[in-house]
Amino acid sequence: MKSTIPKLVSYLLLTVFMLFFQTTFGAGKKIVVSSWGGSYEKAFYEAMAKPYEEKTGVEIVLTSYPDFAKMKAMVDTGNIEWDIVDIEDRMLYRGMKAGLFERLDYSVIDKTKLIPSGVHSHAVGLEIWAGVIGYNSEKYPGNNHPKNWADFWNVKKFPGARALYNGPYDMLEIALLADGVSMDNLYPIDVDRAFKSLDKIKDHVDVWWTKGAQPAQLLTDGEVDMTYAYSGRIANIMKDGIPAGISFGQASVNPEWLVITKGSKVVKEAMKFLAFCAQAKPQAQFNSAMQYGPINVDSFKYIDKEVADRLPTAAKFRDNVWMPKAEWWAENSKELTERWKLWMLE
Amino acid sequence: MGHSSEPTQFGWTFSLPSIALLGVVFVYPITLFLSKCFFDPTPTLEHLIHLFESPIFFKVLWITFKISFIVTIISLLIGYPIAYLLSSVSESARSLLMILVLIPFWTSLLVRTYAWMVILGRKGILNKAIMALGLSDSPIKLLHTAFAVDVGMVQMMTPFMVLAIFSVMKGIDRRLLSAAASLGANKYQAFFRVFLPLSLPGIGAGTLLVFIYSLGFFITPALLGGRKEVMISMLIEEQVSTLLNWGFASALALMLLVATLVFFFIYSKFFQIERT
Repeated sequence: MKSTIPKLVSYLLLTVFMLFFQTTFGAGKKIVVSSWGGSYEKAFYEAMAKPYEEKTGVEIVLTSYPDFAKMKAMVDTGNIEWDIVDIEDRMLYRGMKAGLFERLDYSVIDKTKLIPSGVHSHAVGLEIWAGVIGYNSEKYPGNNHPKNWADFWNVKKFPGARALYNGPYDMLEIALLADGVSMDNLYPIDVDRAFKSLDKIKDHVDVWWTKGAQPAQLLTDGEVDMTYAYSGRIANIMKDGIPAGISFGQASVNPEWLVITKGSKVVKEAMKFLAFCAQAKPQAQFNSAMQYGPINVDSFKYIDKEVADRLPTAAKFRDNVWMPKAEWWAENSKELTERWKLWMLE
Repeated sequence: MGHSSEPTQFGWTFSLPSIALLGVVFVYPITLFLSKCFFDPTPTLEHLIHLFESPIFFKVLWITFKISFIVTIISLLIGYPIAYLLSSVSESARSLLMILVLIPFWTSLLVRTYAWMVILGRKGILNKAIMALGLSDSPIKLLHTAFAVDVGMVQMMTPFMVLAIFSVMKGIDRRLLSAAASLGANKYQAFFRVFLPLSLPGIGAGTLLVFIYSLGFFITPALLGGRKEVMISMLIEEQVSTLLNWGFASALALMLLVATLVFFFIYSKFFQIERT
C-alpha cells in the first residue's frame, strides 16, 4: 500500500506534465497554411511544404481557401486556425487597416535577394502574377491577336465575344490604357475618364466574371474569345492543350503575399517557414510549376530558359507592364466598388 | 378550457429543447450580426444613413423582388398542373411521378446551376441544336441573361411549389367535383368554382415559400446572370468577404429582413396564412 500511492501520484504527475508539454511545445510542430486549392496548392506543397517538412520535421497543414471574413473573425475571437495565409495585394492594405497580420522579422527572412516589390513590413511575396489578355488562339491565330488594351477595345479589328472582371480593380486602369493614357500616368486614376472609356466597351462584353478560375473556363468552353485573366490560369489550360494564348502587353503585375495571422501561436516557426519559402530554389520550383514570376532574383538560375521567358517577370516584358497602386485602391475601393455596381446596372 | 390548454402545454414542453437550440445557434448569432449595423465599430447610424443615401440598395432590392416575383409566378404556372396530376393519378403512378419531382430537388443546387451553363452556353446543347436546325446562323446569347436566371431559378423552385400545393390538393374530396357536375356544372366550371378555391391555401403557402426563398438566392444569379442580374445576397457577400465592411453588410441584411417581414405581413392579410 505504501508504495502504490506515491506511484499513483507520480503517474498522475507524469500525465499532467505530458499534457502540458504537448499543448505548450507540441503545438509548435504544426503550421496551418491557407492557400488557393487545386493545382496552385499542389505546387505549393511540392515546392515548399514538403521539402520543409522533410528538412525540419515541422508539419505543414494546407487548407483552402483564404477567406478574409473568416480571418477577421479569427483575429476578433482570438481563435486562430490559420497561421499563414496567402493573400492578394489589395487584401494586404485592407488587412493592415484591420490589424490582421503579425509584423515580419527580416533578421529571420533574408531579403537581400528579394525584389523590392515583394518585401513588406507585414508580408513577404510568394509570386508575381499578371493581369493579362487571354485569347482563343484558333480565333486569333499566329501574331494576329489583341496585343494591348486598345486592341481589346477595338471591336472592328478584333470581332469576338469578350469578358472582363466584374469590379473596378485593374478595369479602370485598362480603360485608361485603352483610351491612350500611358502606363506611368495612371495614378491618381481619372475615374470619370475611365468610366467614359468603359462605356465604349460595355455592350460588347458578354461575360463579367467574378472568380479567378472563370476566364480559363470561359476560354475552354468557347464562351468568349478574349478576356482579362490571371496569367497562370491561362498558362495552365495551355499546358492541357486548350487553344489559348496570353498577351503580356500592358499587363498589370501584382505581388501575391504570405502573411502570419495576428495572434498565431506559432509565430516563430511560421517566420522560419516564410524564410524558407522566399529562398531561391523553392521559389523557382513553385513559380515554374505555376508559371508565375519569382520574387527571389536568384531563382532564375534554377528555371529553364524556355519557361523563364514566359513568366510575367521575364526581362522581355519588363518595359510593357505596370504595377497597380494598392495604396490608392485602399483609399478609394469602397466608393468605387459602389460606383462600379451602379454603372453595371445602368 | 382545461381541454384546450393541456395539449398546448404539452406541445410547449416538448418543443423547449428545439426552441433552446434555435435560440443558441440561430437567433443569437443573427442578433449579434445584425447589431453590427448599429455598433460597428462604435455606436453609429452611419451604415443605415449610407444605405438610404446611396441608390444602389433600392435598385438591387427592386431587382431582387422583380426576379423573385417572376420566378414565383412561373413556378406556380408549372407547378400547379403537376400537383394536380400527382393528386389525380393512381398510387403507383404517383410514386413514380413523385420521384421525378424529387430527384432535381435532391440534386445539389450548384450542380444544377452548372448543368444550365452547359445547356445554355454559346457552344451549349441548345445553341448547337438551334444552329443544326438552321434557325440561326450564329449562336444566340442565352447564358448570362435575365432569361437564364429565371430558367435556372424556376427549376430550383418548382419542386417546392409542387409539394406545397400537392399537400393541400390530396386532401380535397374529389366527390365534390362529381357533386358539382350533378348540379349541372361542366368540367371547367367544376374546376374553377370548386376545386381551384379549395386549393388556394396550397397556392398561398407555395408562392410564399418560393418567393421568400428566392429573395435570398445567390449562386444561381451570380453564375447564370449578366451584369444587371444582381441580387441583394450578392451585395451582402461582397461587403462581408471582399470589402470587410460588416457594418454595412449588416445594414443590408437587416433591410432585407425588414422588407421580407413587411411582404409577409401584407401577404398573410391577403391569404390569411394562419388559417391554413
